[in-house]
Amino acid sequence: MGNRLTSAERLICSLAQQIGNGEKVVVGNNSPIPAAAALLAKHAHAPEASAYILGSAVDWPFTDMQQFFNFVQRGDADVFFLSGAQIDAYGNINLHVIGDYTAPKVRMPGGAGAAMFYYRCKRVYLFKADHEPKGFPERLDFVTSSASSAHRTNPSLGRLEAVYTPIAVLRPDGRDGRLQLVQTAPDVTPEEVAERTGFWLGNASVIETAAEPEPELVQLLRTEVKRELLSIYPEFAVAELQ
Amino acid sequence: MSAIHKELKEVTALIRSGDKVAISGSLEMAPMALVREVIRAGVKGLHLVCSGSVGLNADLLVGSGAVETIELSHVMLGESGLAPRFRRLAEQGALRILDHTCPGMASAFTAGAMGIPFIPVQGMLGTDYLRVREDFKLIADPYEPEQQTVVVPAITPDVTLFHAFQADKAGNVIASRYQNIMQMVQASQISIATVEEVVEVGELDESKGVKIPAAFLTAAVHAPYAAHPSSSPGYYGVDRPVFKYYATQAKTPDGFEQYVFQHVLSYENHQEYVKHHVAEKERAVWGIA
Repeated sequence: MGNRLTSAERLICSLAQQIGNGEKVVVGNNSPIPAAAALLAKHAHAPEASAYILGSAVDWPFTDMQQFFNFVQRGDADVFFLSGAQIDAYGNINLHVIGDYTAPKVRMPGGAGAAMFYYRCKRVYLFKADHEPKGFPERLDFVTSSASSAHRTNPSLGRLEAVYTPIAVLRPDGRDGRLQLVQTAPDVTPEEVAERTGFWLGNASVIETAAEPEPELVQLLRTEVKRELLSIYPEFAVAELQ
Repeated sequence: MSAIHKELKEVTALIRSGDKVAISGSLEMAPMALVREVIRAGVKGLHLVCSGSVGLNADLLVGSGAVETIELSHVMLGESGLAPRFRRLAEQGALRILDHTCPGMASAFTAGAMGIPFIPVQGMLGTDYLRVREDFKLIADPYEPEQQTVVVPAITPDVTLFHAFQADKAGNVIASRYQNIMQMVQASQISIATVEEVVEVGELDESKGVKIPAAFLTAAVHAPYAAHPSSSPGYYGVDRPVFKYYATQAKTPDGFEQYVFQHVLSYENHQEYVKHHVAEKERAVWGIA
């Protein structure tokens, strides 16, 4: 291997490690990083995991989208990976607009299933492929999904576990749910993470340094997983996976 | 009138300006030939309802001025990025946008199919959907009054347009498993399918997808390559260069007009489009001149 990890590869390896053997992972539209993470987990430590990947010809047992949604709405999905154009200090996300809703500076694709999946999958991991202040504002321009337990009808569903970026892992604080820094990537300091975060970011009592992913895991990602991903996300697979 | 038709024009004549028209599909099984025919017919003022994630289909209709209101949960040209015409008009405030969620919309179609006026949905609590959609209501659950729930109105389109794999001669079709065609056609007054192939009654291949009974359909049109440039799995893959080309062209109004001329308006009908945009070698596989 030898080549440096791309940001996407590092994220995919971190997310894959959150999937336990036998767990059910659901992956939505336009989600190359989550799809790769789910496939990687299955190839590595979680061969008995089920990955239901929208857009994949093989990992799809459902008759239609309604069945897929019902599977999630019932609370059957264990793990969901979700990104946001903006993520605020509590893990609320924005996928709609930058600026004013009625005449936005940037109109984005929209929330797709986020305002349900975030609420009904057992564990939700947010991720962001870049870590810059504008992506982590104190206030969102539009709330596409709320992270708050006050907005969950079933307390065992829709729990935000952590936010993964190429330089850090943030976790909600147990008291008020505000995100705090729990892990940095190798060679990244807590100060740098705080500088690159738009909202005020507190530190956990212990901040770990992330371990480099195992070479075997990276190798699987660049071979087996890349091959499978090429049929769904060819441009991503070529550009982001070495 | 459920039977197999040959010409798209005779069925798209059923669509009137101002209709509420439902579509779905993005890179796969998008009803592109129907969309192109709607643009050729010059229909205006549509309320376009986009079920699930949509892409080129919606952006073409929006850009060509056929759409007054777009109701959607997600629009993107796959890996070719944002939908440029939708984005530009949205940023100019020139398009009425009704944001919904994919599962919420599926539920709303189900309510339409059941003939009930509204339906509770999962999630959406604490979001700005409730701020921008005055017709989404936060109510107390009538059975567990301390529990709040969001209700959304039923969606009942005038017309649903979709692409399917097969039809039999009685007009039953096999549709995609990655869309919600069953709910959409049951909620719609009129439903029109294009299909890749027509088979004898009893010979539909149900392993390809979900069987939609002719009872819910108005017409099925035999139109090979009607999903092109999106894919029709088992028949042809997605034509990615076309998506890339569109993504570049549609960044400017002039480039968009050029695309619409090259891919829609310069052809009388779908057969002419196929001759010019699908390679001869590939057409030959399916016995198309």
